[in-house]
Amino acid sequence: MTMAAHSPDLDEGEARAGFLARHELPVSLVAGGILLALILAAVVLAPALAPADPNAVDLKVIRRPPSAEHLFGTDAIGRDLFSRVLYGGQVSLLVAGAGMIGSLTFGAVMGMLRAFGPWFLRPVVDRMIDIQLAFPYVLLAIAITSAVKPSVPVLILLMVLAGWAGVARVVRAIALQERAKDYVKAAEILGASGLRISLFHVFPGVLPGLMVLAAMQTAAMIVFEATLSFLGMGIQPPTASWGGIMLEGKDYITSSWWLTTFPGLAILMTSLSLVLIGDGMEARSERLRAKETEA
Amino acid sequence: MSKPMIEACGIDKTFTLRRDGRLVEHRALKTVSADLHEGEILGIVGESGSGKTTLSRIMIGIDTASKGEILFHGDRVATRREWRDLRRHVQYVFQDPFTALCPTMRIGKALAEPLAIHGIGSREERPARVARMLEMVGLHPDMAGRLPSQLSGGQRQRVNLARALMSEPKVLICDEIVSGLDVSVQAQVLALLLDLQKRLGLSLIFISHDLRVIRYLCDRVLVMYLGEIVEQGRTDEVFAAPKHDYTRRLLAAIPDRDRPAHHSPIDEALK
Repeated sequence: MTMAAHSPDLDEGEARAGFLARHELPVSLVAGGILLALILAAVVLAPALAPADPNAVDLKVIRRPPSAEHLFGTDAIGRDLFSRVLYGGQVSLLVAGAGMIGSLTFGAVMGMLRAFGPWFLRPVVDRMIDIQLAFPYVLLAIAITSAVKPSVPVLILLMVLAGWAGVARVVRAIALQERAKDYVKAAEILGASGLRISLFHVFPGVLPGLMVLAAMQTAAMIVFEATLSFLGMGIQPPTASWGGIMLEGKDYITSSWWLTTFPGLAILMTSLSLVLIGDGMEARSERLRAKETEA
Repeated sequence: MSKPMIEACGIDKTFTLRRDGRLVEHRALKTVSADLHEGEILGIVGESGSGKTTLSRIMIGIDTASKGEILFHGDRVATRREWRDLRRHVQYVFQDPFTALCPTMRIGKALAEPLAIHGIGSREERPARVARMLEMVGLHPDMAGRLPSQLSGGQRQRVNLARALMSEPKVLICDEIVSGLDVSVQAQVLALLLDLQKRLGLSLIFISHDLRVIRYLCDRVLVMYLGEIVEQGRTDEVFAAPKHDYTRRLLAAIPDRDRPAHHSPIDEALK
């Protein structure tokens, strides 16, 4: 066969090349996305999927191992664990998701303010970040939850407080690095205000990094929420949350493994999906950048 | 002679550096004065570290002078507001075409921005103005949809020129704008610059370490050495009869100076 005969085949081969490759979608991003979508669907559709009321006590079936009737088994007072894990996810994911959005927004604003805000605010932001990072967040959580009764809004506030400083530090680092570049000076010479420069010139460059951070941050928030609930500072019983279910099951860990294993797996799978998404997004933006420079 | 467009009077600039843990004062500019007249092309030459870039940055206000002042049409520029006004009429083009454009902003948006900032024209007519300016600097109007990373160095420098010209300034300061480009591209950009200067009646400050480029472009030249202006005058006079020792050494260092039969590519291209 000649070379000429080969080339159409090759072109066709390229056109047929996987959907993933054509859209520069790394496998980790897709796998994480599918996993997270499944978990989210299960949690959102809990009322339709759950076989029983998550708080319905049935003392005839105490601490039964997983079976066809009770997929994840039953707990110490005979509640269906599968239903509790599904409903518990609503609380855990709501708190983590809202905490992520809040901490990312607040952190990004503070980070940009540090780099482009008025001069007198800059040391204030720096010190706020230092104080926040030096303060152990579990201690902060204990202080707040002992003063106010823990509820969903209080937990979300805690997540924001625990997370914003890390975000602000990343945004500050990127923004300061960008501020020294000529294009920012050029915009100043053109007469652009600090607000315009930070919004239109610098922030679009910060955004991809922020998206990666968002995924990682949510994973950390899910674990943090579970930690607080496990320590008894989270959502109060009987409302289920993943950390709370584990707390209820910890006394039986040697005899009834399912009580801690299934909520633990839910936390693990959700965090894993988010970390995969974060890694995938990072890889994708790198590939896109390489492709764009090539073109 | 007409009143100068822009004037630097007795500019001093001292940088404080930390060397081996001690603070060292470095005087980058030693009481330098310079002026630019309407329609003129003024060259500033000197080796790196001579203070030519620092002087130009002070004239546009990205750096502040330790002493001395900048006059624009004879008025002192001091407040933020005055600097803002000056920047509508005086623009600057950076040396490095790769860092001077925002990497995430498409060319069309970058060019329309000066118009939005200064409220020039209506929102609807801005794309047309951008397209006209792109054509004026020798780029296809379709470039408006591209990102800076999709352009070559020469194209980017044309975009930088276009952006600086969007607000229709009277003075353009060019800091080594061709030194990062290939020799053949250098000549194209210089020819474009000269053409634009004539068509738009710009006054130009052109900073370079390349004497051949200065000779090709400039009416008048300032020679800077270690933060001082050691010689100035009409370009042909300075080149024909240099008075200062440093200028003579600079001229002697031009490659192929004594071999007129063998022109370097840039000389060829500049013709």
